[in-house]
Amino acid sequence: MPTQATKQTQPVSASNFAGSDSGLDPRTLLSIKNLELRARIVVEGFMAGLHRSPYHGFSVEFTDYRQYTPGDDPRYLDWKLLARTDRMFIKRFEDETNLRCTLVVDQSRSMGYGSVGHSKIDYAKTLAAALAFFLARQRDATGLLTFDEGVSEYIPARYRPGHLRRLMVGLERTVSGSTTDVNTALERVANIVSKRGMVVLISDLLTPIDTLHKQLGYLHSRGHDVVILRILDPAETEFNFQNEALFEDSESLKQLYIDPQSTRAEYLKRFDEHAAQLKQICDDQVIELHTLSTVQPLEKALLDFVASRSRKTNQLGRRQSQRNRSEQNRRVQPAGEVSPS
Amino acid sequence: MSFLAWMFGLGGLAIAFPLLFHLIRRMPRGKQTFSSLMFLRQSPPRITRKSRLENWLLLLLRSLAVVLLALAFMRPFIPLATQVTPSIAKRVAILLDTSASMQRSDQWPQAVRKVEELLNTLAEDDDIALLTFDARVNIVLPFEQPAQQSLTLARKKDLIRDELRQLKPTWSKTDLGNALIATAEHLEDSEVRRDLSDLDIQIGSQIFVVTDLQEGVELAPLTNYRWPKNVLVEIHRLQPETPGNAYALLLEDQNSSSDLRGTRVRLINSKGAETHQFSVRWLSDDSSASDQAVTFNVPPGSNQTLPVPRLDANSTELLVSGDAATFDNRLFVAPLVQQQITVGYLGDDDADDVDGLQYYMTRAFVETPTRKITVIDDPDELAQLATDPQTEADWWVVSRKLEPPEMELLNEHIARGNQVLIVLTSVEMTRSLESLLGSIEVNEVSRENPRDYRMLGQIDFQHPLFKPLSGPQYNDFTKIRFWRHRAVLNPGETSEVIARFDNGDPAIWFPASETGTLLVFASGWNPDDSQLGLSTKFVPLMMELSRQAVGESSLAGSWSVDDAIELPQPTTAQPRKIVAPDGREYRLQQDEAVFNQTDHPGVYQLHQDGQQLPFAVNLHEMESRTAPLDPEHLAAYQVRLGNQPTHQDVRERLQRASIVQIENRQKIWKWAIVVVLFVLIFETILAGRRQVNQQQLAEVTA
Repeated sequence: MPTQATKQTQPVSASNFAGSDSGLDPRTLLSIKNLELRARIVVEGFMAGLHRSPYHGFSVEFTDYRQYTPGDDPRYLDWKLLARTDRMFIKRFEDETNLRCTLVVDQSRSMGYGSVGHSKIDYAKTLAAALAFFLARQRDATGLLTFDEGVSEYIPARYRPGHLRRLMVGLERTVSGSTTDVNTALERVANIVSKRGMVVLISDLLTPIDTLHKQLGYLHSRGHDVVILRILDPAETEFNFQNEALFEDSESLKQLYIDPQSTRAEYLKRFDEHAAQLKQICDDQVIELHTLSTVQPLEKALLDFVASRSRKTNQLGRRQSQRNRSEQNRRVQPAGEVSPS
Repeated sequence: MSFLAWMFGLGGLAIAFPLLFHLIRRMPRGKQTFSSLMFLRQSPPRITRKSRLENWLLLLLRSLAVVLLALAFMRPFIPLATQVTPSIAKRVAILLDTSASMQRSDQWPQAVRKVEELLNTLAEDDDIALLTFDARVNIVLPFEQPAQQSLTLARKKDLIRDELRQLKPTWSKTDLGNALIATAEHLEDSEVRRDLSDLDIQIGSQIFVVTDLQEGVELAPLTNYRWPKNVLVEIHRLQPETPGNAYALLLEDQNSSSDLRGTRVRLINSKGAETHQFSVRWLSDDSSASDQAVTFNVPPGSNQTLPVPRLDANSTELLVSGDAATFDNRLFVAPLVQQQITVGYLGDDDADDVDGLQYYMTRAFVETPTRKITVIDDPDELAQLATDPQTEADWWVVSRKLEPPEMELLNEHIARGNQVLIVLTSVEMTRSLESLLGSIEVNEVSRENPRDYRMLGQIDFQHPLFKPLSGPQYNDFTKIRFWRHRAVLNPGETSEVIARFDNGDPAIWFPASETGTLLVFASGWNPDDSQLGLSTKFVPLMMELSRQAVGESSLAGSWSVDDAIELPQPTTAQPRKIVAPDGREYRLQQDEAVFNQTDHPGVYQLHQDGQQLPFAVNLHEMESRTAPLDPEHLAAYQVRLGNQPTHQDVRERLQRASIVQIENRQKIWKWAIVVVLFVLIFETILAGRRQVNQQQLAEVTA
C-alpha cells in the first residue's frame, strides 16, 4: 500500500533567537575548533570592553580585626597596633589567591542536543573554557569536573603553569555519557572539594527536581559559593516544532509519538513549572542561577556572570564592613577607646 | 448456497481493519531526537472523520479481498436436492450377572429394572442379544443370524422380558473376564446383519454389563485377550441397599480336628459395612446349641479368628448371624463319621510285650474323630468274628507260623478282596505261608554288632503307601536301621517290590494276588529287628495301611460350587449315585470319576459300595468379597470402556460426511481464492500508481 509523504519535523529557524547584537555570534564563535582559542577570544573581547563597564572585578581583598583571646596564634597579632595602642588584635587575611573555582560541566547526551547548528555541550564547553581562561588571568585556582551518569573526569583546582592547558584538554573530551545524574556529581563535588570555594555548575538541568534541592543545599552548607549556569537550546524553551513525529529521548532512547501542535502548550507549561521550581530551590539556597540560551553571545553571558558576582561581592563587602564596624564599636566604645581603623 | 464452516464467517469481520486503517492517519515515519521527553506526553493517534475517508476504491478492493477470503474459508457449497437418510444399526449385548452375590437384598430386582431401562434406549434398527454369566456364560437370546428370520425389536424385547422372569441368581462365582471375552467373541462371530457398506461410518458394538461388580470378580482371563477395537463396554453397577458383607472361613480341616469344641473360624467383614457385631454358631438339633453362639466384633475391613464349639459331630452347618447379606452366611462341612476298624493280629507276642510287634502297632493306631482302630489278638474272639463276614476284621497282620485253619481263614479273607500284612519273623514261618507267598527262598540275616546294619536303600515313593512320605521333609529313611531281616532271594516275578534294603534284598513287597491285597515286610518293627517301630515313619505307614484296607469315610478336600469332584473308584458293582442337598439325585456310571454338578452349596452324599460318603460344597470364597470394584480396573486389561455414539450423533456425522463429500466435489472455495488473488493484484497496481503520483507531486511542490 502506498505511503503518505510526511514532512520532516524541524523547529523554526533558531536565528530568530540570536537576538543580541553585542558580542560575537555564538555560531561564528563555535565554528572555531580550538577551544582555547575560542576562550581566549571570548575573554579578550570581554576584557577589551571592560573599561567601559561600571563594574569592577569580583576578587576583593578584605581584612578583619578581632580581639585576641588566649590560644590564638600570636603570629597573626597586629604588632603595630599593639605598639600604638597597647591593645592585642588579631589580623585576619583573605588568601592571596582568594578564589578556588571548580567548574562542573554536564557532559550527558542531552547536552549534545542542538537545534541552532551547535549543541549545548559546545556552548557549555566554550563557556567553561572562557571562565577558566578568565580566572587564570586573575591568578585564581580553577578546577574541572565533568559528569554524565557518573563523574567522568576531575581536575582539582590549581593555579600553576600548564594547568589551564590541562583544563582545556579535559573539556575537549567528546560527549560520551548517556543519562544525566547531577545529584551524583554534586555529591561527589561536595566530597572531593573540601576547601571552600566557588562551584560553577554548567548544565541543562533537565532532570527531575526532587533530589536536586537536597544536593544543592548540601553543597551550600559546606561553604561553597554555588553558581548555576543553565544552558538551554531555543527549541527546548520554545518547543517550536511544526509537524508530528516520533520524538526520541537522547538519553533513554525512549520514543513517543508527539504532535507538537497539540502538545506545545502543555510542554511549555510543564517546562516553566520545572524552571520555576528550580528557581525557587536556588533562591532558597542562595544560589545564583543564570539561564543561558545557546544563541546568546558568550561575552554577554560572561559579563552577566561577572557583573552578578561583582554585585554579590559588593553586597557581601558592605555587609561585612557594617558588621565589623558594629562589632568594633561594641568592643571599643564602651571602654572609651579608639577604633583600630 | 450453504457453508461447511460457518464459524469462519466471523473472519469477515476483519473488514473492519482496512476501514480502520483508512481512518487512522498513519504514524509518521520521521524521528526527532530531543534532549528530554520529561515534559512530553504521547499524543493519541488522530482519527479523521468518516467524511474524510480517502481512497474509496482501494478501500473497497481491500474489503472485497477480506470478504472473499472469509468466504473461501467458510467452504461454500450448493446443496443437492435429494439426500438419502441412512439407516443405522447398532448391536447391543446385554450381559447380566447371575452370580451368587446377586442374591443380596434387592440386587436382582434392580438388575431386572436396569435391563428394562436399557431395552427402552434401543432404536428400531438395533440388534440385541442377552447373555447371562456367573462362572459360565449363557447366551439367552443370541444376535440374529443371516439365515434366520429377522425379528422385530419389540418381539425381541418381549422375548427378553420372558426370559428375565425365569432367570434367577445362581450360587456360582463371578467370572466376568470369561464372560466379557465370550460376549466379544459372540459379537465378532455374528456378522452385522444389515448392509452398511454404503455408509461412511461403521457402527461399533456395545456391551452393557449389568452387575454388582464386586471385588471378587475374576478378571484374569482378560490378561491374554486382545480386546476388539470396535466393541465398547459400559458397566451398569447395581448398588445394594445395605453395603458390606461378612463371611466365615474354617481354618482347619474338620475331619482331622481332634477337638470338636474348638474349630477355629475366621470371620471377615468387608469394607464399608455398617455392622460390626456378629454371632457364629453351629446349627444343631440340640436346642442348647444356640447358647454356644460365639460373638465376633469385627470392624469393617478387618477379620477376627475365634474357636467355635461344635457340640454335635453331625452338625454340618455353620451359621453367621447379624449380617444383612445372607446369601453367604451358611458354611457347610461334612458330618463327622468315625470309622470303626478292626485289625486281626496273628502273632506270638502280647500287647504288653515291648519287644513284640503288637505293642507298637496298637500305639500307632491313634483314635481320631473320623477313625477308631481296634486290634484283636485273641484267637477265640478272632474265630468268632470270622463267622460273620459283616463283623470280620477289616485287615490282618500275621507274624507267626499259621495253622491250616488259620490259613483257610486268611485265604477266605483275601478272596473277599481284603488286605493282609505279613511280617516275616522266621524262616519257618515263611515255609508255612507258601500257599500265599509261593515257593520263595529265605535266609535269616542277623547281625550281632549294632554297628552292622541295613537301611532302606530303594523306596518307591510313587506307591500309595509311601506317597504321603514322599515330600522332601519326610522322605529321609536313613535313620531307620535294620539289624535282622529275612533275605528273600526270589519274591516272585509278578510281585511288586516297593522297598529294598541297601544290599538289594526286598524289604516290602506285594506278592501277586488276584483278589485281595497281600503285603509282606521282610523285617519286623520291633526293636530286636529294626528301629522302624520307633521311627516317625511308623505311624503314617500304619495309618495309610488302614486307609488302604478300609477306604475313606468321607471325601477329603474343600469344595466350592462348580468344582469338579474326583470320585473314589468303587470296589463293588453296586449302583452309585449322588444326592444333592436339595434332594436331587444324580445317577453315576460305574466308571464315572468326576462329578461336576455341584451347583448348590450344602452337603452332598455319595452312595457307593454300600456306604455313604458325605462331602460339603460351599459358596466360592471370592463371591463373598462384595466390596465394590472400580470399573476403571477393567481398563487395565485393555477393555475399552465407553459408549458408542447415539443414533442422533451418528446421523449428524453421516450428514456431515455427505456435505463434506459434496463440498469436495464442488470446491467453490478455490474460485473464491482466485478472485481474491485478482483483486489483490489490482489493488497493488492501483496503490502503486497512487504512491508514484504522490511522490511526483511532492517533488514538484518541493
